[in-house]
Parts: sequence; C-alpha cells; structure tokens
Amino acid sequence: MDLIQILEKTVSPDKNELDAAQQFLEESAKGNLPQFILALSKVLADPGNSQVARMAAGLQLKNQLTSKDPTMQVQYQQRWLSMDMNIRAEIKNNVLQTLGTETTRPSSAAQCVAGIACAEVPHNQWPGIIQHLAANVTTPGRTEQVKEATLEAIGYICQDMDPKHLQSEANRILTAIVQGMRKEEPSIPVKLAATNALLNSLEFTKANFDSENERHFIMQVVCEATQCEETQVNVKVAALQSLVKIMSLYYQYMETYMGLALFAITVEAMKSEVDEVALQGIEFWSTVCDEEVDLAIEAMEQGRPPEHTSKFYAKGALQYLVPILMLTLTKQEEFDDDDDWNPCKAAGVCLMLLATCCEDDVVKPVLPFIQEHIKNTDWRFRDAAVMTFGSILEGPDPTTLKPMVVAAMPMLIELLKDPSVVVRDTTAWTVGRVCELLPEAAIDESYLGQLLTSLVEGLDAEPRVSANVCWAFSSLAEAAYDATESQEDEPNTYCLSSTFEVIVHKLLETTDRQDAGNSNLRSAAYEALMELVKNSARDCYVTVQKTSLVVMDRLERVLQLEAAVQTSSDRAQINDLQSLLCASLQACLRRMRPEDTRQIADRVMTMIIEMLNVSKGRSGGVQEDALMAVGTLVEVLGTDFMKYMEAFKPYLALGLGNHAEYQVCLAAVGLVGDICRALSTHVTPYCNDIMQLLLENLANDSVHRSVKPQILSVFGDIALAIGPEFKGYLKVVLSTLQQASQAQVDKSDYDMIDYLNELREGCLEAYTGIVQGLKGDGNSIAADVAELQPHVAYIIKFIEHIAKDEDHSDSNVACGSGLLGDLVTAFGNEIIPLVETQTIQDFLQEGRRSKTNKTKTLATWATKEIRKLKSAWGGSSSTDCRGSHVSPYPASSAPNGHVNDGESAVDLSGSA
Amino acid sequence: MEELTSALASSFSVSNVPNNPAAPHPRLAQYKAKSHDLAQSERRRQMLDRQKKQRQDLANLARRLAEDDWENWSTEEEEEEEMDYTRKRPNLYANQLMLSEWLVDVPGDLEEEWLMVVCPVGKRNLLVAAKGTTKAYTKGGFCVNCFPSALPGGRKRSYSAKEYTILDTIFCEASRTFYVLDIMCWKGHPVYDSETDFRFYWLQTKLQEEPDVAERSKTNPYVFVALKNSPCQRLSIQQRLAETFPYEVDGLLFYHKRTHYTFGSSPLVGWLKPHMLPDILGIPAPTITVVPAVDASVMDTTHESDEDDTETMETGNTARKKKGRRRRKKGGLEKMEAENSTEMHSIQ
Repeated sequence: MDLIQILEKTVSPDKNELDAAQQFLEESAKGNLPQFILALSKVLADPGNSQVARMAAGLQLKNQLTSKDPTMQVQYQQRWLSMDMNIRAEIKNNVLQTLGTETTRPSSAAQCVAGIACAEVPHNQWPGIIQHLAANVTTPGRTEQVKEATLEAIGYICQDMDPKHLQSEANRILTAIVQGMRKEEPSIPVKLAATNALLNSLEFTKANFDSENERHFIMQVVCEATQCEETQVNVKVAALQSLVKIMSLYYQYMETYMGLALFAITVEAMKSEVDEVALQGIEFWSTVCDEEVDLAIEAMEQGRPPEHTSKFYAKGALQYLVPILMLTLTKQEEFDDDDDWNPCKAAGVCLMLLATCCEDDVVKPVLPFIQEHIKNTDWRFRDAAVMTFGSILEGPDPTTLKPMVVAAMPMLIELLKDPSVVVRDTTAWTVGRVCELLPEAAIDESYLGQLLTSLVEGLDAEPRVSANVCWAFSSLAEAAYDATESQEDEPNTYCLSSTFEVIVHKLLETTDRQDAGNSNLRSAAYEALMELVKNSARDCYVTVQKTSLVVMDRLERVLQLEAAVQTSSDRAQINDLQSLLCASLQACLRRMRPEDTRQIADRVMTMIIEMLNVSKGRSGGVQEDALMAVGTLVEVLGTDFMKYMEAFKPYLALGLGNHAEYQVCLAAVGLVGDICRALSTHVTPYCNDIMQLLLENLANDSVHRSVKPQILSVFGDIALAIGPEFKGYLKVVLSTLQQASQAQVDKSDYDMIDYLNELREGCLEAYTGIVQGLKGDGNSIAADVAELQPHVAYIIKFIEHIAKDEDHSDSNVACGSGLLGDLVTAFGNEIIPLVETQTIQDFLQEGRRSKTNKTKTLATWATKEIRKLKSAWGGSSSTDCRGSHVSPYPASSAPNGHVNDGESAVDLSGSA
Repeated sequence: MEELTSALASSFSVSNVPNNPAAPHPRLAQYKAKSHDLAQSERRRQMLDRQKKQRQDLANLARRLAEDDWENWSTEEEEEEEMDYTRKRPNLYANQLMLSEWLVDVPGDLEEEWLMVVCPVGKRNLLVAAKGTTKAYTKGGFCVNCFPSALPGGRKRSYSAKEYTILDTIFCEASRTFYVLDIMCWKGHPVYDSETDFRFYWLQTKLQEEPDVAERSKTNPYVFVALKNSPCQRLSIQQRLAETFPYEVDGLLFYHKRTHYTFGSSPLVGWLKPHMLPDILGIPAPTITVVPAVDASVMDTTHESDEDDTETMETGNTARKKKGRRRRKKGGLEKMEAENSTEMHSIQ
C-alpha cells in the first residue's frame, strides 16, 4: 500500500483499517524518520493529491515536530535538528510551497512551517524564513490563499516562539501583519489571519510601540479593524482582543488614543448584542482597572514616584460604564452552567474592579439603579440590583457605606427568601460580603435576630445558596466576637449566644446533607462550624463541648468506612472528611477547659493513632491535620501527654521521615516543638531519636527547603526543654548552625531573601534556646554555659552580619536583640567589647525604634542589660567577678567568609 | 475529514502556551468570589504562627519580660544617653520628628541628590489625625492643640478606625495655617520607610485629593498647605527664592532624596538661613518678597509683639546647644518645664 492510501485511511470509519493505518505510520516513523518526513512533505505539497491525504500528511509531519509535553517537545526539536541538512532543506521547501495551495482551513502547511521555524530559528538554522513569509504577504499579486496561509503561519510563530528570537525581525513581521489588516484589504480571511497574528505579536513589538509614528499607525489599523462590519465579527473580536492586550502592555502610551477612539470603541462594544464583542468591551475596562490598581499599589509600595502614573481612566469613564454594566447584569442565564463565561458575569467582575479602583466615586452612579430595581417584579432586575450592591462593597470608604448597608439589610433579609434561586444566591453572597467587609453593619441589633433566622433557614436552600450562607456565618462569627472588644481571652457572652446552639446544630446537619458534595457545601459548613467554635463566648461552652463529642463520633464512624473504600473518588471524599473532622476537633479542643479535655484525651489519641495508621503513605492532608490536632492536645495536656509518648513515638518518626510530603514533615517538626514545651525535661529519653531524624532531614537535599528553618528553631526548643542534657548534641548542632548561618542566596529573588531571613531566624532561635537552656532559669548562671563560650564571638559576628544586610526583617532584629541580651546576661562583662561595636549599637537602635512592640521590648531590654553590666563593671575596677579568663575572641571565622570546605552536613540550597 | 480539521484546529501548539479554549475563563474565579479561607493552607499558617508565638513567649519568660510593657519606659531610651536626668513621665509623642543639622559641609551630590524646601516662620508640630480628632504636638511631645480637620481620620464624620494621618508641619498662627513639610502616614498607610522623593510626591498628590483641607470651615478651622519642594541646582534655588511667598521665610531645608523618615536630627537633612547662602553655596543673598496670605496687620502685630517667643525651625545643632544649656542649669529644670508648657499653650 502506498503512503497516500494509508494517509487517507487515517479517517476511515472502519476501525480495523484505521488501526492498521496508524500502526503503519508509527512503524514508518520508527524506521527511517528523515525519509518518512520527506515523503509526508511531498504528499502535502502535491496539489494533485486528495485534500484528505494532504491534510493527514501535514498533521503527521507536525506531530513529528511538536508535543504538548514540554520535555518531549525539546526532544523532538533536537531530533529534527540532528537530521541531515539537505533533507531538511527539501522538506522546508516543500512545506513553504504548499502555503496557499490548500483548499481546506486551517492550513496544515502553516502549522508545519511554524513547527519547523520554532525548532530552527532559535538556533539560526533557517535564516531568511521571516523575510520569505513577509514577502508572501507584501508582494503585489500574491493570491488571497497564499496571504492567508502565510499570515496564519506568522501568527503561530508569534504565539509559540520566545519573543527574544523575534525582536530583530519585529519590523518585517509587523509590516506584513499591518498590510493584511488594512481597511483596503478586501479579503476577510486575510484580515482575520492578520489580526490574530497581530494579537500574538504584541509582546515583542515593544520597540515599535515606543516610536510615536509607528505606534500611531498600529493603533489606527487596530482601531479601524474594530469597526469592520457585523459580518466580520471574528475580525472585530480579534481586534478588540488586541486592544485589551495593548492596554495591559502599553498603558503609558494610551493617553492620546483614549479620548479620541478607545473610549468610544469599547463602550460601543460593551453594548453589542454579540456576546463575544460585549465580553471584549467589558474586558477592556476590567484590564484598565487592573492596571490602575497595580499602579496605585506600586506607587505606595516602591516608596518613590512610580515610573508610570495612573491616568485615572476608570474614574473618568465611570459614569458612562456603570449604566451599561448594570443593564448587562440583567442578562442572566436562568440555569447557569458554573463554568460558562458570559457578559453578565463579566459585568459583575468589572463592577467589582471598578469599585476597588475608583473607591468612593463608584457609589453615586450605582445608587439610583439599586433603589429603583431592588423590588422590581422581574427577578432579573432584582438580581442585578443586589449584584450591583454586593459588587461595590469593597473599595469605597466603609464609613460611607455603613449607613447604606444598614438601611438595605432588612430588604436583603427579605430577599434571602426570594422565589428566584438566582436572586437568593446573589443575596446570600452579598450578605456574606457585608459580614466580611462591614462587620459592624452586619451585627446591627435592629435586625440581627431576623438576619440569623433567615440565614439558618438559608442552610436548607440549594447547595450554592447554602454554601454562601455558610460563608456568611464564618464572617459573622468573627464580627460578633471582635465586637465584644473583650481584653480577656474570652467574653462571657456576645450577640450570637442566644442562637449559637441552633446555628451549630443546623451546620452539623448541613454537613450531612445528601447533596453536600455540590458547590463545596460540606467544607463550607465545616469551616463555618470551626469559625463559630473558635469565636464563641463563655456561655456557649456546653454547645462547644457537645460539638466535640459529635465530631469524635463522626471520626470513629468514618474510620470504620475505611475498609469499604473502593473507588478513588470515595477515597478522596473520605480523606477530605477526615481532614475536616480533625480540624473541627482541633477547634473544639482549643476552646475546651483542660479538665474536660483530659477526660476525652484517651479517646482522641486512640482515634488519631488509628487514623495515622490507616492513612500511612496514603493521604498527606489527613496526616497533617492529624498531627496538628495532636499539637493542640499536647498544648492542653502539658506533662500529662507523657503517657501517650511511647505509643505515639513511631508516628512522630513517620511524620518526620515523610520527605515526599513536606507539609507533613513540617507539621511533625512543629509538633516536636510543642512536645518539648509541654514535656520539658521529660522529653529527654526521646531526644536521641528525634535529633537524629532532624539532622538527617537537614542534610537531605530532597527535603523541601521550607522545613529547614523550622528544624533549626526546634533545636532551640529541645535545648530549652532539656537544659544541660543538650550538651551531648552541642558539638554537632553548633557546627550545623555555623553552616546554616553562612548560607547565601540569590538576592534578586524575593522569595529567596525571605527564605534567607527565615533561615537566619531559625539559627537565632536555636542559639537563644541553647543559651537559655544551658544557663538555667535560676538567678545564678549555671556553669554549663561555659561550653558555649568559644562560640560567643562567632554568634555576635553572625548578628553583625545580619545587621549589615539591609534586607533583614524586623523579626530578625527582634530575635537578634533578644539573643544579644541573653548572651550578655550569661557571659557578663567579658563580652561587652564585642557588643559595643557601631553595627550592634545601630542594630539595637533599629530595634528600639521598631514599630512592632515585641521588637521594641526586646531591643530595649537588651540595651538595658548591656548598660546595667557596663555601669557595674565601670564601678568595680577591671576585675572580672566570674574569674573566667577565656578569651572572648576565639579563632572562629566571620560568617561572611566561606571557611567550611569540609563535607557539608546541611543542605540549604533551597531545593524545591 | 471533519475529524482531521478539528485535530488540526485544536491540537496546534509548538511550545506549551496554555491557550485552551475549553479552559475556564481566567476571570471566572473572581465572579462571586468568597475570600474567607479556613482551608488547610490557612490552618497550617495559623499553627505555625501559634508555635512561633509560644516559642517567643517562653524565651521572654526566661528573660522576665512581659509583652506590651514597653510603653512605660522605652521611648525615653533615645534621649537617656544625652540627658541622664530625664526621669520624667514618658511621652510617646516625643522625638517623632525628623530634624536637621546645619548644612555646613555642602555635600558633593547636592545638585543631583537633594531637594530644597523654603520654610515659613512658625512652630514645628507633629500632627496626628485619628479617631475623629486632630492633635498637634510639639517636638517634645506636648499636645498643644486639638481640633477637627478634613484630613483623613481628622473629624467625626470621616472617622473610620483604619484612617489616620500623621504629618510633619510648621504652624503659622497669623494665617492659621499648617504648612506641611513631610508626610509619615496617610489613611493608615505608613510611609516612614519611603524615600524623600516619594514622600514629597505622595504629600502633594494626597493633599490635592482632599480639597477640603485647604478650605477653612467649621470642621476644618485651620488650613493645610503642602510646602513646595524644588531641585538644588544653584539656578533653581535662585529662581525659587525669587518667587513670592505667602509666608515669612525662616530658612531653607535640604532633604536627601534617598533618606527615609527617621526620628531626631539627621545628617541627611540640612538647614540654612537665607543670609547664609552666599557663604555656603555661593548664591547671592536673596531679596525675599512676602505677600501674606492673611490680613497683613494681623501678621505684623503678631510678629512684632513676640519676636522672642516665635520659635523658629529648630535644627539638630540648635537642639544640641539647647540641651547643653539645660545641662548647665540642671537645677532649674522644673522652671524650664513650666516655661515650656506656657509657651506651648500660648499657641492655642
């Protein structure tokens, strides 16, 4: 059988023929690939062959060059480049000749040209290709088909090639594109291909936008293309899309065009009956808002005049945009598909962005519409009015909004029972936003009772409505709790007290609803439950206690279901449920009285251990939540947790060894800290194992980097807990800290700067724990601390090193100051000369002037300790009262030099 | 045939650009978005925060330090080094202004890196608008005036907890005007850590956005005017000084463009009197034209009647001199305090 017939069979309805054809093609590719591709290109190029054969040949050829998998893609391109140059030249010639000879769309030759160009151009292997393609468009007399297919090829190239390889050809490419987009161009397909290519080219044509004349010309062509007739709607949409992208890429150049053209064009588009056109019009203004909000934030954060300033286009256009958007909001789908994107949703988002961008100014133009339609008999208008109201709640000054919201709440409460589900959904969402953004208005006593009743009823509504109600409860609980302004840990009562039990009961019911899997209702309900428990007053205690029992019952039940799990979706559901229940339990434990917690502690630990046992190697999420729940229990039980240590030890070790799921590892490391604080010296027998695992993790480069600073901090927790017993680990830990304190990172990466600060903080916390642990907590200084003496100079040099790094964090200053104070109290006046340097003094001053209380306190305290010592020393001649004569300057290196050339016990490379 | 066409139409991607028309629209997540998040990631963060706090509490326990007691003693610390006798009641508003030093050594980068502000005669005040009232404090932290203002947070109507404003001002009693030198905080956003360049830009634009502050009214009895800044080329200084001023000129402040707003005297802020310009900068002594913003007679009488009492811009150097003076007459401290407070209250 010849290749043409085989290719034609690739669309055969007969499955056997189809499979045979596929197999043949695969084998040919495995055989002599260059000859196979050459043969394909010949089939493609010959107009005498059937269109099916030609297209199939094009598809096969393209598939030998491209793949959706980026690594495969690179391999394919390298394979192509390794092929004989002459064969490649012949293939390239064939595909180029094909452009414009095909009668089907899209052109498969265009894709082949682009596929080859993307492989060759970055390696300078196809010089002149862009010139050739450009000439295809600009040379008079070329056919419409040639132009169209060529512009398609240019479009693909612009879309897929790294812009840096195209910058030098930008002029040529742009000339060809603009030629195709001109008003005078008679062919619609040519225009469309050109406009799509333009959209893809905008990133690398920056130089052309920088030049005023060229910019004028491009803008003129794009604006004209937006005005083409309705029959050319695709061209119109592509041109509008280009405007959106131009706005986001070249905001600073738009002033000239905004008033002259862009405003009129986009407002017209917003009103269009054609959804695609209206969507682009709305998207244009959403993009303007995004840009202007970014500019405002930049101006604030950078601390210098911004490079480009906001021109406040959104503010200027507000009064014209808002009426169109509100009208668009009335074009809802009654049975909405959640994933659909339509002008109505786009208008909602755009209004929200306008509110964030224009703040107070947005209020006036929207009010009349809301007032007029919130009671309209047509549900579409009621919904649009509520949606508008909900959309502007963030942005304007809360003091301006509050009276409006208070006035509107009774109406919203009514609308929670609206006959239309769309209106109920929007209203529930709006109430949720009120609770979150204007908490004081939400709990106004004149209607709080009615609001709560309606919300509780709302939990029975459709899942999407009900999920919004849950969200409202979450914010409401926080608002109510904050309103008590109790300085104590827990207020005696608050405005949710009388309904607390009803709400909790109903939320628990909601989590059990048959349809709770929809619209995320189940997790929304559990999360609301957690917030309520977390923000509960003393007089709600009985309900909290009861809730803990319900949660435990459910946990036990869900553990029994484990055996029945069959499908992966069952598994996912059970995992989610276990996580949520663990988290709920944690919220309850945190709120319960210690004596009550003790009574259920056995049951809780049994359950958690079982859960860790069954989820072993299965779900990281469950393990993490389980470990966090143990942490809470440890905190409450204190030394009483001792009795579970033997049983729990293996699971702690499992967590610490879980390198694959670093979140689990992180939770386990944190838990070690909790256990140390709770058990104090009793933790000593477990320390050998724990220390070994922690040190292994530090040295292992497959452990996620975010775990490592936490491990260093936990060294401090252990040292503080076991005091003198830590001496056994001192040598290895100090050498580890020395290495960690010398870590260097790429300073151009903000994430890495943050990481470095965390790492240093870990070191500072570790040193703090060690100093405090060794010196003991009595008034006299334990002799053990002398073991640390040879390192003191290094530690202070490390703090100086941090001080000199201008990127250090406030919390670095706090930890560093505290450590300085500890060192001074522990080692006395012999180290005074070390801390009297200008760098350290400036560092402490920075701390004293910090805006964070904690930092201020620590730096002030450290300064006082230093001063106290100095004055005492000054008074008692130069005799050192401790009689120690160890030099404060050991031969330790400064942290900024690289001295550690031996094998590294710590891997801090920041591997992912 | 159609299958082939659609295979071609949908499968093209040479590189891995996500361009899938079937994927949800990128803005869909913004539609009816719920921000409240108690998802696992949030629980994780809360747990880490809690552990960190407990670790620090424990460390501070060992240091016999309780949280939040700094207010009782810490603000004094800065001055303690120089004035050991200052064991008086602490004052949180003391030493909150950035003060200058005499510009005796002209910096080499003055022309490129500095900005100049022409200052009126008046009293330097720290202005804090918060919780519905506006308060003026002297450098020493004494509250000398309390009134409503149109500054964000400054009067009842516009009061929201998040909104407060902190400004560095010179008060001119004659024209009942606060000339604003610098901005430290606007609508609750602190800009202490921003460079002069930006703070000045921010000062100009933010005050413009609140036109009410420039209008005298019942709820804004004093007006606020942002002082102009200009570049430091010799010619620009001359041009600036040739303009007409609505106030009596006291002197020139020079700000380094890159300095943050720091407390106390700073070598990055310089001060010159107009008559010193020929000596220091080689600029001819300017003839300054003043057209007062208010009735000239009021201005004159105030000016003549208490020449001595009018506190001019206090620079780091003069401050230091004053401290020296105080130290010499330690015994008369109470008296000085008393004098000081009458002087402050006289402004009201």
